[in-house]
Amino acid sequence: MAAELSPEIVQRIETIGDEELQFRGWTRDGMRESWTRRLERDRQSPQVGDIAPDFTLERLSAEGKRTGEFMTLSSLRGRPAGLIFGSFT
Amino acid sequence: MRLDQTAKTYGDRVHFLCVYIKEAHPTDGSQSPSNVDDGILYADPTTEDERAEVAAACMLRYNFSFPMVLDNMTNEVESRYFAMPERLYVLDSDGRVAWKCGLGPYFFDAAGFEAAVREQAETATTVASRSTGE
Repeated sequence: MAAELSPEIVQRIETIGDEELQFRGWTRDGMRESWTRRLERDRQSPQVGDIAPDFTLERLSAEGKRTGEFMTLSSLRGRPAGLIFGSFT
Repeated sequence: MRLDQTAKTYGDRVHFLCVYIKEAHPTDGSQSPSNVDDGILYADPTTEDERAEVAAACMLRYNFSFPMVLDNMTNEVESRYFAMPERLYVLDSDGRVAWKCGLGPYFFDAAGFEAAVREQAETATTVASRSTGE
């Protein structure tokens, strides 16, 4: 079954300015389709109550340099953890 | 920045970790007008060194107090958490998902993150007090 867009998403897409859509090369129909696909895929994301998928990734230093040292998520167990995923852009 | 403030407030009871993932709006991809206005202009990194450079610029610009790790170039962690373009998860002490926000950018929820972190911090403190008899 296709994911249904919530009124909030529909509203957000409606209120994007024409200038921004043009800059991005997007259309409102394209955005609605894209969000529908994303929401369908997101059903496979970890759910509340699931063990968070483990990973081991390289840590940056406080100055932002590569360290060659790796951190494993599951080693943080024993305390709660807040995970922040993002990029600069 | 609210996330950093949350980390500073609860950092004595909760681990915080930033996972630096694939660029959402690189100059050679889905460029965003706000990044152009802010001068945040980076091509999509193709090597770990390049990704580390952009991550470092991000870290230094926002002066994050929490540690940052780099997703690998197959974007393995991003794909397992469906984290693009940005997302927040809170785990309990056993490593289970206690809370997550919806897909970014529309459902990025720093306030919800703070509330979930607070709840986990209080739960963890209560459990620790019981186990030590305090």
